[in-house]
Amino acid sequence: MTNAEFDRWTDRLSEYLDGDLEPRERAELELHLETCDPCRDVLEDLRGLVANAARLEDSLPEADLWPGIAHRIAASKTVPRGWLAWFGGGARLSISLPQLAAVAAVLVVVSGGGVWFAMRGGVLPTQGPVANVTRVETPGTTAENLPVATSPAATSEAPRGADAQLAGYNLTRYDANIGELQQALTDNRGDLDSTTVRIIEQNLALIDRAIADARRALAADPSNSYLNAHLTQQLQRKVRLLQKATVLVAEHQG
Amino acid sequence: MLLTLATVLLTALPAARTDTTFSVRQGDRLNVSNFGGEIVVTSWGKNAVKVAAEHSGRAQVDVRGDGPNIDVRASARHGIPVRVDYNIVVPAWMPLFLKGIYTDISVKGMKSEVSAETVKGEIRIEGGEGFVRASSVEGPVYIDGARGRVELSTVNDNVHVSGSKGEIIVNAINGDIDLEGVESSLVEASTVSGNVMFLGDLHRDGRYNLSTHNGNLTLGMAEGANATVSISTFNGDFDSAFPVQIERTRHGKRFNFTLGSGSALVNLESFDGTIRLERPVELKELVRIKGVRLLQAEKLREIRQVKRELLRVREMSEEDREKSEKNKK
Repeated sequence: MTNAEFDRWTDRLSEYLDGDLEPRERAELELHLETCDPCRDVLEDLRGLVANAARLEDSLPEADLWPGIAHRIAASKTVPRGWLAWFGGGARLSISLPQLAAVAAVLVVVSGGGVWFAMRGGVLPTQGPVANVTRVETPGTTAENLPVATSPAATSEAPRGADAQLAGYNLTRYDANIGELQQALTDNRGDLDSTTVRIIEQNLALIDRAIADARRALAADPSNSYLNAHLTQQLQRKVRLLQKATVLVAEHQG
Repeated sequence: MLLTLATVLLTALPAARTDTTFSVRQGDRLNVSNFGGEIVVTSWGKNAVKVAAEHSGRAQVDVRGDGPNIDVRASARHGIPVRVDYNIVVPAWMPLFLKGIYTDISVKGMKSEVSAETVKGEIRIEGGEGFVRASSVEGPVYIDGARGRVELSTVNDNVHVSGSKGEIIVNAINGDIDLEGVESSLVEASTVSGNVMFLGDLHRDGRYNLSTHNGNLTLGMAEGANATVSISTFNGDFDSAFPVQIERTRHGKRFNFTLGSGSALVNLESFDGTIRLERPVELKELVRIKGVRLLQAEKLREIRQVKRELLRVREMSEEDREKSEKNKK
């Protein structure tokens, strides 16, 4: 196999996966795949990316949830009551609007980061499948405040160094936003049902350990697409759990 | 609408029991919210809903009809949270949306959408069609005989799905995921700290993504299966009950192999644990043994609970006896 052959076919793998190739080209490509390990690797990674993109989409919050939460929060700037209070109990949890906005922002970061991580495997062609990327905005936040998720198409046209900078930026924002949310939970833990808070915190710690494991592994093997996807999965999971805690509070006030 | 009670307020009986039956029609849906206690829903052949509830005398159960929505919830004076045990019978076609805090939820015999959510409690759904959703923070989720798309999540407990058909999406954090007797062309099951087990048919062109960070992953798979299997791990191992021909080792501890025509795509990932392929018959036996152990553990818990209750009753009796003796003196 020559480099030219590789270059010729590697850009067509996405079309192949989507079933968009002409029968003749398809047959040619399949013949090529039989002898080209790198192309088979790319194809496998693409398949993995498609599966991961589907996961990312599934894990996003219901689009109609946040406007409702944000609207209610915006009215008072803070959530006045905990979920126990919904039933008349005295428990309290205050999550500020910026903190809730942070949750939304984190979701955007992770969505974008997920795409980047999958790409970071280093083998994607320029025409990757496009994952759905959602920008979530809440009242009181501006577009400038929110990290912007980038589509694979956008990043694929940028130089690789730019991708890395972008991801680094998003990861920094991600850490900051997660930190804010965790601080909010810590600040209000005394007002919540102690068992539930303990469970949530224990599980956040569990996810943190998984994230740390994945990061350590990635440091040793940065181009491993499984590890990249695995880290993304854990980050998403953490967001989901924080989101769940926040949503429980917010929806029970009404 | 047939639910002529636009707003029905059911005041608790002196015996602290609410019992009412009203007619419903196709298109109506039932929403139940509960703070503590349980929600038990079963089905019958009538186009009617029976709500029976046991609660304290200070509580009242409200049943409200608003368009197609029928809302059931309890309240008490001064907004104090109340514990209510609901026993509700509905037509099998009726969509259910059940929500609780310290609430166990059980649903049986439905042929409709079922959504159940609790913070601390067990969710058990037998049946359900179209869309079955269950979510618990602290409590196990059991699903049996669901049809359609099944979406389940727990934070700190296990998920068990059996005899179900359709797309299955399961997310856990600190808990095992057992998928048994599943017929599905799309399975996504993922946990952080727990084992994942899949025992079911692999559909042609089906996609099966199973992953765990810190646990073992076991897939029941016949040697004659048609699947392209992708294995990924970092610190873990791979083991198979039958020989497989590894075609290609990919970067890191990752490799692929194909069984039969390779039509189904199976993606197995465990960061730190063992990924194992078992013959279905052997795995069934393991599942059976595990089931027996779980049952034994459950019985043991019940016995301990009864013992504790007996002890409490005995202590109370002794206190009463001492008091009456003091009074006599």
